[in-house]
Amino acid sequence: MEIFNTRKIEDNNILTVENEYYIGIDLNSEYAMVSYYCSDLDTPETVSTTYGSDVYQIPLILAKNRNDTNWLYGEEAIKYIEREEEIFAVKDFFRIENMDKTYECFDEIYEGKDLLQIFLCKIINLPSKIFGLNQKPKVVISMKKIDRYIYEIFENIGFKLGYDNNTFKIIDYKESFYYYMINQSIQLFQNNVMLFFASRDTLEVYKLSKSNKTKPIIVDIDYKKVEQFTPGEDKEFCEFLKEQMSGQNVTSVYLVGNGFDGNWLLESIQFLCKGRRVFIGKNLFSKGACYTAMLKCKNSDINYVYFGENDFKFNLSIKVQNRNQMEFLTLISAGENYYEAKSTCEVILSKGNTVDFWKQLPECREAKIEAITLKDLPIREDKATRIKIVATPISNDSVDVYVEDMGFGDIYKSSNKSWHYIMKMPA
Amino acid sequence: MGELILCTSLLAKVPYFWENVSENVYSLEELVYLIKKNVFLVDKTMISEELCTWIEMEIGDKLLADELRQDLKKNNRVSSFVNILLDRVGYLSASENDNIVKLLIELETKSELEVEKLKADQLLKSDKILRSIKNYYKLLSYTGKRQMDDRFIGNIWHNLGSAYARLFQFNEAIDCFLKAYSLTANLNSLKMSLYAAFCEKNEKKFYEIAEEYDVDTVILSEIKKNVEDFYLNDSSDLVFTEKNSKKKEENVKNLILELKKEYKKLCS
Repeated sequence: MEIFNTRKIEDNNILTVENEYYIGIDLNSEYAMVSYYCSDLDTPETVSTTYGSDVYQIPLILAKNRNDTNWLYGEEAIKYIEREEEIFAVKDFFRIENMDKTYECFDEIYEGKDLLQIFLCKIINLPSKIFGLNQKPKVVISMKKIDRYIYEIFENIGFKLGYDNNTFKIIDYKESFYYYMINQSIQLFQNNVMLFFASRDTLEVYKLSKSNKTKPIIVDIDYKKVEQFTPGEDKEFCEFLKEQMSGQNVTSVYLVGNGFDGNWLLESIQFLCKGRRVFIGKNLFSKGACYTAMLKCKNSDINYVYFGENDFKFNLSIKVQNRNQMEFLTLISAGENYYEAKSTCEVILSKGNTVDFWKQLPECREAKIEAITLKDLPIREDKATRIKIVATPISNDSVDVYVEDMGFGDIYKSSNKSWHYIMKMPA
Repeated sequence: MGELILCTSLLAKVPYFWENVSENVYSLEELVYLIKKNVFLVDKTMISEELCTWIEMEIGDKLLADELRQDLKKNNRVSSFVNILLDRVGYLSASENDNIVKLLIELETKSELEVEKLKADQLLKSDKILRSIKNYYKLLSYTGKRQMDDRFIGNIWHNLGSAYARLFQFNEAIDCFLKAYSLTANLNSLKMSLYAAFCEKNEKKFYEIAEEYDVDTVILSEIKKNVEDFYLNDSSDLVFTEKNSKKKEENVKNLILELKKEYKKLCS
């Protein structure tokens, strides 16, 4: 069995860049882990809270003294709380229900998201403080689940910390797992890969599979939560593993989380190691987030594609004439994060008042056409109407299409008419 | 199925004012549209550093602006400047672009007088009546100073007549048509003078002209019938036949406003 945080020379396609600096963070309501990569390293490293140790988890705690402007966090905050009396301490600020909750810190009021921002600012600066890195990093934070509310909170935090959508992103654990795996040796995921993520009382199972029939190769990740899990019950866990692996061709297995602490995995490991590579550790998601930063922020071409829950599921395009050449203009691409994706273009209408939208699933060659008729558009000469088209995904399989009549300068004034349509993924 | 032409340039916040057509232009597509409609009004006053600066600063297309500047330095010809513009914008089809450029090349071979007349005719067609009248009189002021044959001058008088008629100045229109007829002997000019008289409901003048120029009664009847038929089919009559008096009053007001707006545009 191996630890998956040791250095390896990778034979796969890790991007090596000069003078770039990337940070991946694994964030949940109890702790954070920070991995980082810069050009001096072969693979991402993870910051340990104690020098030379493998303790990576930074407790999600903030503390502050009345007379001090400086915030303490993690282990430092815990020690401070134990010594000092008149302090403000908080630890539950990264829970959905606490994002808008207010906390009274002496004479100041903070919301949960403000405290989260303070904590993130501290941990993002960790690698540069320890290793003397001067550049501003590109940051990706991974967490269990993302919805629009969470996305907007983190987008706002990113802006306040001086980042933009390209340099500060959030992903879920599935996506982090995907990016981690595609940066491992290809032998490790020739077939399926299983990840078991255990906490004190829950177990989550992620199964990564791929379809070699397409180019790029489509990767899929199934997820299952097991409510009743007790760490230490080796026999029961082994039976569970046998059930999970039955009929599966699994190349490698990853055991992640506190639930696997304590050397209780004897029978389970014996079973797993038969014909498979097995890894145990805690920092897979933070490393996966770091790999994500390296690949996504650079828009690198890779041979794989994964459509996560937050990724838009189809290509939406229009056919346009561009300097007398017909071409497809893609408004939203499959695989784009649907919270971030938005596209605007302006076109001149010709030969009628309809606009055809082409919807195509990535694995299909053919596209379906959905035509929108701009009802009650004033009748004008041909090619004398400019329209604005704005496509905004509202979920991973539907998009809000807004069309606005802009008229044609002073020649034909805008009617101020607009049209809204919701387009769904083709069946 | 509708087609879409991609707009590759921004909309300008500050428009370019194309003086010859008296229009504000906010985009390259609008500029090309107006060029197509007013080819004869495209001249060296338009192909200028001012236009290049507008394209660079307001449209945001420095590449195009620089290319046009280079062309101004190198060629300083309307046809080559417009060719670059049309090709880059891609608003018209390739054949439409070719036709415009060919026409501009042809205009470059015509005399100044011919070009000025074509411009004045274009202004008339584009409902810039007052400006067309001004341009026609400018051309007529060259009579005796430059070589212009009777036919050319006669055509100018005829078009002047049309311009005045559009402004409902029928007396002036009649004079112009008759001058045109005296120079060209074109029956159409004589007919137009009779139409003008009839439209003004000046029967005395109508018959005076008919008698002086010995117009056939068949032609006179044809003219009367055409005008009467026009009034019969005129939809604005529906405004007056409305039975509901309140609605009728509102319709009349709206019609007057619309006609006023149209007339103002003709005089712009």
